[in-house]
Amino acid sequence: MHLSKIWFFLVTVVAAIAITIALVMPRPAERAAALQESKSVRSACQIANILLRDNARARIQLTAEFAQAVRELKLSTTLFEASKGEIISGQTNATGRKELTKLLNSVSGTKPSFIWLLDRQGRVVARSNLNDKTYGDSMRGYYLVKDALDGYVRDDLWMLEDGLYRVAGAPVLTRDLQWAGAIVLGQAVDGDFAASLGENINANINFYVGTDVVASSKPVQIHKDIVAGSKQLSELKSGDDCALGDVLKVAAGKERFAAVNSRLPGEAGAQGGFFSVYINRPEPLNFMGTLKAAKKDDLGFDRFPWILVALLFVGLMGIGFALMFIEVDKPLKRLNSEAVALAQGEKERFAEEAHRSKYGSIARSVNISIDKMQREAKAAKKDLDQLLGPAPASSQSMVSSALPPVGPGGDLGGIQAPPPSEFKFGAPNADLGLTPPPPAMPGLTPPPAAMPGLTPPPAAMPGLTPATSLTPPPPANKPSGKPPSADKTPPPLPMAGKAAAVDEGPKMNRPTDSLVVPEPVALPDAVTPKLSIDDDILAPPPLKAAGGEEFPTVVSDSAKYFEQIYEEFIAMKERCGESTDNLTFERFSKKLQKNKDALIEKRACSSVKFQVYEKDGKAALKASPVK
Amino acid sequence: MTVTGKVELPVVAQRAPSPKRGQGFVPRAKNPVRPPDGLNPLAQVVIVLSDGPVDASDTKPRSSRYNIIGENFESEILPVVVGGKVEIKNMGLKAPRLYSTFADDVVPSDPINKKGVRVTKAITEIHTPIDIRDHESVHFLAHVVAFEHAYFAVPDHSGRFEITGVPAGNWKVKVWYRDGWVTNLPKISVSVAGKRAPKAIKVALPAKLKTTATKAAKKDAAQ
Repeated sequence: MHLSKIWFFLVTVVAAIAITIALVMPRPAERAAALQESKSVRSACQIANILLRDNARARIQLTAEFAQAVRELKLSTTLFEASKGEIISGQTNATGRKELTKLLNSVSGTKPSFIWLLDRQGRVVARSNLNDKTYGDSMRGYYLVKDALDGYVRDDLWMLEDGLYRVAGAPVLTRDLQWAGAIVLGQAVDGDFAASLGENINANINFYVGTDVVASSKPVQIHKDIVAGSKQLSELKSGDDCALGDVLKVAAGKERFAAVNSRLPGEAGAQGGFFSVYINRPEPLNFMGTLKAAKKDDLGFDRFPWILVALLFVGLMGIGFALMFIEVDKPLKRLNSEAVALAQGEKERFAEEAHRSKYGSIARSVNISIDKMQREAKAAKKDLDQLLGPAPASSQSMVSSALPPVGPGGDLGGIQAPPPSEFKFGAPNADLGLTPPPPAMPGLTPPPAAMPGLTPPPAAMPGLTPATSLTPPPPANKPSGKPPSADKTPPPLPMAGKAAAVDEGPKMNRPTDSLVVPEPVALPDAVTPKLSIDDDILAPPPLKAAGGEEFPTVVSDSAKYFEQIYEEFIAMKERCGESTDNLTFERFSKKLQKNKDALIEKRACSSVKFQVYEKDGKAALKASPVK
Repeated sequence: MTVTGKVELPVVAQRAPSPKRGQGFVPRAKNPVRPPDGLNPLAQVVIVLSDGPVDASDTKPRSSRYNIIGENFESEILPVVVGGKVEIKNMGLKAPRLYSTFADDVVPSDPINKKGVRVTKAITEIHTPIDIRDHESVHFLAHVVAFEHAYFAVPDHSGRFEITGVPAGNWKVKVWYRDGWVTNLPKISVSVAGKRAPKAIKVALPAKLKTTATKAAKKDAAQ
């Protein structure tokens, strides 16, 4: 019974494991993808820094070449002379612009955004391409200009009014190597530059100063997130931005990016300048993402083990069905066929050993119920036998010996058996002068007068407990007769030696612990003379009278009348469903005679009329004096 | 009387390199044609006469003009008489927004347009450099230092200086460099007497300048 459950559990466990694997499986790939993505973007950032440094060196070189060219053009002399004056003259400015224009025209490739010629004091002698008409203002404040005037070549990043510039400066010497001034070249950081740099690093790049984006290679709105992520840069050491900075996950609409920020150097860097390198992120490789990524080819027969999967499916299902058949279907079928046979009467009970587990339990329960009903039937029959006597035989001795008049101590010693309970004419010891009931046994209350047709309850049987009732048994139920009413039928007699534990038949008033003696049934006063029944009509006649005499027999002249009454009584009993097995005419007539004689003597009537009637579902006799 | 002189710098070989001022993508490199001359402190030097007969009128606070000539002031340091104010005029092309880390109310913070003037509050702290910066610029920086009297001068780019209205008497020559008195300078004195101008003072700065500020900083660091 358990193999199918175990199989079900195993299949469920396998299914759960398979689902877990399916859900978890993409995660390593996703982590690997995220790691690769992180590596890629960091690598792109570092390459961007390298390229920017290379570009700076190239610009420094270019600036130095420009300085050399200025020296060769004798422009340096102009600068040297201008340095001595209080102000820069217009003439000096004109000369400087003219020479610068020549220089610019001679540059092939990408031209600088601006060129400044500065005198020894750092004042602008001439500008080219950027406010080229202004001059005389001092640029000495710039760190790059100070260094250039001091004799250094260097680069820097400046945030000017119209944008971010990569600048380079170099000192200008006269031909005799006198410090004449300095030259500054500037190149804009614009979209073209960002796009060009992005192509080289195979990523996108944006340049920011503070919260403003100054150049970007791709027009995507990710600036807010990028700027927010740049706050983390202050916690890093210089040079660790690309390697250790957070990889930011940003999105613009449906596009997702991974970005890394890196601080810019120079004066722009001091003003919060940084650049951000970002790459496109692929779709997440979660379970659904993996499913979406699957192609038709992935499910082809050459790549996917369809046959194995089908065989596994069929095998698992087959095993499950087989176990279910063995453990459920087959035993149930067996139990069902046996139940049908039981119902059809082919069997009396289930064969418990043929059924296992719950089915065996069902069979046992049914068998227990069958046994119980059989016991109840036997007990009911036994009680009836006890009440009505054993199975009828034709001899009087069997009838007469049905209930020997013995008491608890043995022979009653001449005490007459109580009269039939149904054949009563009133309360005991009535004024009609009939023989009163025999005195009760010491310690016992007298049992009630027995009903006609019923065997009187035995006097207290040895072994009876106080809880035992001495009330007369209920009449035996015939299949055709109507059952006795539950509230009027006296409770059954207890089994000999046992407490009253039998629970069969209709509900009856249960006896209490005390000896309950039912009320004697009385006929109405107008009809019922106050007589006591001195004998049960079915009880065996006492062997001897009180004086030792034999009891008289029935007088023959009333035989016919008595026979008629007898037949009527029998018919009534049969109608009432009572047993008539022990009711012989001889006994019946003797009884009638006796009562007739007693009534005549008491009432001084000429005769007695008997009537058969039904009382409480039982046949009863009524005796009426005739004057 | 006018006292003149010249500040002489040490030979190039003995000079310390000029201080590093920021860095671009690559570090600065020496010009291959002619190497740098080294540190030139002249822009931050003030020659001051002390321990002489100070005329009371020369201690009165007075306004001093300080011009912005572009991306910087005309000099990196401006000496003033204590209690005096500074008039800042913008002769450059931009509109700086000035501030000082010394105190919030030293200088007005609204933008100074071209040819505009802003006046600082009276400088009452003596011998204390008060910085003036620009919100829009990282490099824009100058210092204002107050002295007891007006007998001071800032050398020009060639090192020459001139102190006018010096009362007759014997004076000691002191050099203020950046944020403190130069302490490793040989004693220089000048006598101002009669109608003849005294001889030009030669102030030879050592290769490495030690100042009172340097000493205090070292002491703080040691503590």
